[in-house]
Amino acid sequence: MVKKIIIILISLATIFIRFYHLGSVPPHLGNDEISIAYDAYSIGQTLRDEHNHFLPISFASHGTYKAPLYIYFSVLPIKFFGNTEFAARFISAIAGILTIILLGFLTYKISGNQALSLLSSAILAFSPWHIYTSRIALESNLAFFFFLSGIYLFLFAKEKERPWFFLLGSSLSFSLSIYSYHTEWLLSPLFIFFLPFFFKLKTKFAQAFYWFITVLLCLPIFSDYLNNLGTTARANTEMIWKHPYVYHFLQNSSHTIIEKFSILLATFFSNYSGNINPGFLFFNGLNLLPQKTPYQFGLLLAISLPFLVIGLWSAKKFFGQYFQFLIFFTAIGPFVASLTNGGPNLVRNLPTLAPYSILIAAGLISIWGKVKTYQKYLIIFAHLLCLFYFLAFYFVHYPVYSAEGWQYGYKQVALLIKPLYPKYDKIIIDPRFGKGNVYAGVPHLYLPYFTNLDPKILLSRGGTDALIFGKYKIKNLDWEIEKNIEKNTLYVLPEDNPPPKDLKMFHLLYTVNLPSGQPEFRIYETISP
Amino acid sequence: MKKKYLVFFLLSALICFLANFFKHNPLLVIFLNTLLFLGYANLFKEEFNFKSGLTYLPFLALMPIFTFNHQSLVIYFVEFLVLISWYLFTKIKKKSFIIGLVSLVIFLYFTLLSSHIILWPFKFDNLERLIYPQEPFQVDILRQQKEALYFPYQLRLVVFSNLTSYTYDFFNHLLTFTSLENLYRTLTFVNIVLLVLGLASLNKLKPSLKFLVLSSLFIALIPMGLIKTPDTLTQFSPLRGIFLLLIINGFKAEKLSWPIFLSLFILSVFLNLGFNLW
Repeated sequence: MVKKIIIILISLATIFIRFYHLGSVPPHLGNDEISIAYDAYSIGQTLRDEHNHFLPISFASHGTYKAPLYIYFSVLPIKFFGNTEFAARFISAIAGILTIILLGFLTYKISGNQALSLLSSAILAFSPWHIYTSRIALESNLAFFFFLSGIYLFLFAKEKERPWFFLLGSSLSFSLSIYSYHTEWLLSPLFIFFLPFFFKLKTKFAQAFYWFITVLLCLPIFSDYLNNLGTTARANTEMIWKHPYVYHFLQNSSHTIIEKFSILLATFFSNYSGNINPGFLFFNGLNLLPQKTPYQFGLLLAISLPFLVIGLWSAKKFFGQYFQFLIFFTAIGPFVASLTNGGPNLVRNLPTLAPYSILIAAGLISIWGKVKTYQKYLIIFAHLLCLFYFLAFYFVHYPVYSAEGWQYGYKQVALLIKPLYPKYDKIIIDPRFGKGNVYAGVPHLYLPYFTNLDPKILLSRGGTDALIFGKYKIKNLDWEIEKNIEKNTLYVLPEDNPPPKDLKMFHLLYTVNLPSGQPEFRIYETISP
Repeated sequence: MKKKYLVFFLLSALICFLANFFKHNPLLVIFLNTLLFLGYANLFKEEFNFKSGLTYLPFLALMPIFTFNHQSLVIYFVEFLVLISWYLFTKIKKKSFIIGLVSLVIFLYFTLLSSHIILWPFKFDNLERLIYPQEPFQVDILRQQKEALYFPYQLRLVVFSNLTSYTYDFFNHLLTFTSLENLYRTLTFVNIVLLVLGLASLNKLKPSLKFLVLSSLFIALIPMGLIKTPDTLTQFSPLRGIFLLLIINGFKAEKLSWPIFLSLFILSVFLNLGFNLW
């Protein structure tokens, strides 16, 4: 009875944490989120993405060529909930909840231990890493779910004389993970290849069948990749051999093959070391607040560190024949993320969260029987305190500190402009923002999304020195050369690029502030001087 | 047996000498590093007393940590004092508690000196290198004490205090520093694996050696968390004797087959080359 109550409480807390203020924490849709949201909106209306491609397999986005599944899955929530942040993030939150349930089942499958499986789900549910990634429109989160289900279904297949149903399911799941995110393009095939070696299927034909079906299911996306090499744009720029120093080293013919191999190996190793660094995992990996503050958070609760170590130490007794696979999962998880530039990455390395959760749970279970009652209460209290501390920072302080990084202001601008749209002839937007206008936003997605602009208007965009669609004109405004100030026009300007004072035509209508109170955008109308 | 020890020790000394030579260390430093390597190896020579135990000793002489230059003769002098105190602690059974305590104090002094937290003999002139105090932290601590209304005020003063904030920052620095890459730059890859095996087999060591390992690790880790931007070899150099002991202990555990060991060794060579090319 107590166990059931605990399960219900954990489940309710999990759902609450994932859906509470989903539309406002993080405080705004980010760059990638708005691209996903807008493409889903556009597909829902026109079957075309923002670049006018009909039902694409790869979404060009901002030149990042996103995997398609999250966008297609988001079409219905956006139709149902409207063009909101909640709708854009809905699929991620659902995938997050399903992953937590799935991890419990997976852990039970490999350990046969009910307490361990419940605890591993709880660890995942309350890890800052998973809370953070479940609350943004993140393809990686969806891919994580399908990746785990691919493993889970395979474990059933290995026991059956006629495994076809489970093999098909596993194959389909891994394929869907590949359609969800780029990390799984390499990670899933690795697991698909190695799983039959860890867990032999009853017949070699079953193994061949498994590989064949998976290749077949992945053919569309990989042939799209080969036919349109532009889809590798993101992969190309992000891989370690595209790092400027490494790239020039590799291009230099005076270096031997061994030297080139060595430098790639060293770069990979350095990235791998970063991705598994205990400081990154437990103390500073989650950049909720500016780096110089003492209030940093790891991807996992700091209190979990000793239990991860204990879990690694004692894993063998819990997992038996699955122990080697678990260690393989833990070691290989960061592999693909380590092949990319940009330092340790919590999004690309997300699949590793599964074995970490399992091992931390194993560590806790291992120690539980050996400690006194008051120590048990202390452990529980410490975990709850760490979790509360993280949640307090995440829900209270993070939206204020991080707003600018999430391009806060564009939605507010859109909602202010929406009723004014019919009144003005043109709406000119300078897409830059931030101190000194260092950042470049994507207002051409925010504005149509939040104003429910007909996607056909953006599809017919044009312009040479500016992006023009409907009444919108998006360009960097340089007041020294900007001569033709048009009447009856709205100007949306960043705080650090106000109109010159001698131009009397500008009349300030609105100021859009960040949650901290700092002005970010100003909306002007032009009137007769 | 003694002849075998002599041969391998001399060979290892030669390798250590050459490694330091090719690193362009001054002659005196080459000599001191080689002497220290031999000193530590001799201190733990009983741990080599197993099948093929001595064959790995020459490889250990190649570890980057034994080519590290303290840049100060005083620090070398103190390191030799540490070595001597460890000899006394492990060899003299009587009054081992007092000798152990003295060796701990010397080692602590050596660690602080080699990290440049203190200067010879007891000058604390380098405190700006430490994580405490930092003005931005003070500002944030005060801000959180005002803004974190989800905690009662009294609790805010505890949760957002110098003690908790700097303790967290200490562990943050410590764990970020003790990364695989930094350990690699100190020991090379194959030795990291052996180090982990050696730590796993810590209970197989004699009590006196176990005490040395645990106390030295504890003491040497402290500066790593206290210093804002620690240097890899500088911070790990006080532990070179302990690393030697743990690695050979890991080798003794014989959990690595020769093919795996050789593969890791070759990997280490490529990694070493790669890092030098960066």
